[in-house]
Amino acid sequence: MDKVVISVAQDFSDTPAGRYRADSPRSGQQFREDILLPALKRGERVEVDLNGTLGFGSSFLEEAFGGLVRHGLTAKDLHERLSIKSSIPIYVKRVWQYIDEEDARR
Amino acid sequence: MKRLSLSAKQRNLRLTLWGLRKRQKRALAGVRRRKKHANVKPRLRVDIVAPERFCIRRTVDRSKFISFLDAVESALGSGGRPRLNFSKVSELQPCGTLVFRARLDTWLHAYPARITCTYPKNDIVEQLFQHIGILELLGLQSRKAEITHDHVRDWHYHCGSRMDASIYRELTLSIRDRIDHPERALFADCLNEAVYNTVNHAYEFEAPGLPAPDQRKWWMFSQVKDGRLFVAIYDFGVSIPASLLRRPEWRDYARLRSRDGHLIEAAAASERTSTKLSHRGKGLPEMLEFSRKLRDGGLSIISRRGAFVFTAGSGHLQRRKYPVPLPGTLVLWEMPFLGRNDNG
Repeated sequence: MDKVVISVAQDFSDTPAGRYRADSPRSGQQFREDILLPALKRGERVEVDLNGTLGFGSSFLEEAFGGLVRHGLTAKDLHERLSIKSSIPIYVKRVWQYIDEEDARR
Repeated sequence: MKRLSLSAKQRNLRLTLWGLRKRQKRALAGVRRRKKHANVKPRLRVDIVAPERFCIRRTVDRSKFISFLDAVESALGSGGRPRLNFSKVSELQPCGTLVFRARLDTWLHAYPARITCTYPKNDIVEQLFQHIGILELLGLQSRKAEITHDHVRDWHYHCGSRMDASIYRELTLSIRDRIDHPERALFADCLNEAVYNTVNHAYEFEAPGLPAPDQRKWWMFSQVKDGRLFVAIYDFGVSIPASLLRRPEWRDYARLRSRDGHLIEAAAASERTSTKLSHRGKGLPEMLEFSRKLRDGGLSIISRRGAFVFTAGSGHLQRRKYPVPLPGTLVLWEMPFLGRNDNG
């Protein structure tokens, strides 16, 4: 299976922030719906590179990644097909925390 | 009774008609005159002297400063043309200056071309007012060819109505690697979340005194001074205590602890979020968490009559109560830079 690499800074924005489209021009919802989810729905393995941005904010990360579970994907599937790359380990930890917490609520 | 001739009757009729027309003409002129005066109400110029210090944190200064803002608001509301006399202003704190800049935005939008001002006498005050656009907004030309004072050059002003981190990109870029913090990269995340908190919660319901819908913004100042970064974020919204009291899950807590300082502390320090969704409303808790690992500096959150102050280093938490309420919410964040010499 091919792996698609998505760079948030290059493919989306270097100033991602905020949860919803209505509140922010570079929101987590927009990233998930326009970039991340289409790649995952094609059944591909996806690596998301978080390097190169000027921060995120927990609202962006939660909506982008925790939102995947709210919109039908499972944590198990995501652990198999999604990988997160960042020079700041806490971002990687948070992404998986948001995914697993949302899955536990389902 | 004497019988009138036909010509006399005709003359009388002409006179009556002439009298009627004259009265009608006079009445119409009166209506026109009244309409004209109704459209141009006489507006009195009201001289309002600004206080020496623009400061929200210190109780005495805050009372004088907020009285000044109220006087301007009241003059505008009663149809006057306030002229702000800045001759006595000698100290501009980021907290007070940011609140003034925000109020000025909303006044100028609601009452265009009604406020004027005098030049400040203090050179640094004039430089700063020029630097952050206050003089220009109030119709005065910039007199300073360049901004020379170190404490002025490093003030930066941003404002927006949506969560757009590109607005303050330069600020984030210039300082994020310089903060003395073991996880300094997370500064940008906290800043984004603090601004997003404002976009999301500050104007979440209607309340008396809120600005017009297109003026519901966040305002930000940053200043680098003596090896430290100050960031102030203000919204003119419903305030943290009012916001919490509207939420059913907070009501019981709020009944027991009715003081604003307690409620602000709860919003910042509690695991409980302002909505039932556990992933919402984490802006203030994240700022506090980040501040706990600072060597010094701290975080202050001021809203309505209360304040919650965290002092980094000692870890001291304090609640404050003010006699005069501040509309909206003001967040003040202070942090040291790497390599800062504490003795110098």
